Amino acid sequence: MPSDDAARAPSAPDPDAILEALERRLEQTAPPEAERERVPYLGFYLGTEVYGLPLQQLREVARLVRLRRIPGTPPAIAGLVNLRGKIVCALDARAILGVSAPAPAAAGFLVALRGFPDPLGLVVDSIADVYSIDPAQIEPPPVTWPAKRAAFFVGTARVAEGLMGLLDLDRVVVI
Amino acid sequence: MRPAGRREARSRGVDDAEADAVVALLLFEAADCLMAVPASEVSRLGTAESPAGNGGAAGGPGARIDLGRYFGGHASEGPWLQWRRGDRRTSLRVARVVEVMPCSISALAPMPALTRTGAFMAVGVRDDEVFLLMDPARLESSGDDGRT
Repeated sequence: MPSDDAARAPSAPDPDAILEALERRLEQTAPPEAERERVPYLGFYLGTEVYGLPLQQLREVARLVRLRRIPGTPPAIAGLVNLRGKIVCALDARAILGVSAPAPAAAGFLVALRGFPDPLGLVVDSIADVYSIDPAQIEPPPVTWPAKRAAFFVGTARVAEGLMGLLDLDRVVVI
Repeated sequence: MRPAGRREARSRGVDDAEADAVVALLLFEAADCLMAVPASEVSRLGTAESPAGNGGAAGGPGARIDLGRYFGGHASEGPWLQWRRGDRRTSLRVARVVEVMPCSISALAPMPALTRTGAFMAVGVRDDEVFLLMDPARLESSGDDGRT
């Protein structure tokens, strides 16, 4: 026998309306498709130019102190650094990329890298920012770049500071 | 996992003992670097004017190597070390002798692959500074390499 309560109960919602509401909530909470695919890059300066490396390939960034060069090594090897007890082989990004702009008077930074058998780092002039790059925005290196230089990059991306060269670590580290 | 046999345990014990062994290193500066050699292999220190000795060296009799010039820099102006291992002897000129310090072998690390040049065996740390453990026997004997 139907009761008055049953008569006062709200009518059962339409299943399609529930699904629509769920989808609307998901759209509100999840980032847009393009946002989800963005890759964070650390931007750093060599001279006046900005270069980028994916954050996931980096271990840490530290001020460069007490760099000891190693006699007999090529110019691309800046030397060895004691990074909290771990001896890191520091690569000279300027020498590798052929950056001719004068080095800053102040000591640079060591960008410690991830994914190599020996602890490795890259000596850079200064840190620019962390950029969230949409892979769709990545363009090939400009044709005006010499092929030898262009080979070090997976591409370029436009950021506030200008054109950021996105480094291909596997090519940078093979010296 | 199978239990370690007696021989294996003994071998591991020897390895551990070797890793824990402490060696005295003679630290010096040369070619704008901090370097070291085992102090037990340095038989004499000579003055800047007088090499510590010669004869039967790694590169031939009478080998004397100015490490500053050898590594492509300017000539060293410090003392000469007479390095000796067995019947090999070489006089090494350095910029400055820093100190003799004890160093646990386990505190030394192999040279990173990209920095292996032949002259250095390992790297260590002294007061946050990296030093290079040199093997004078590996110094090349040919060419204009600072030999005097």
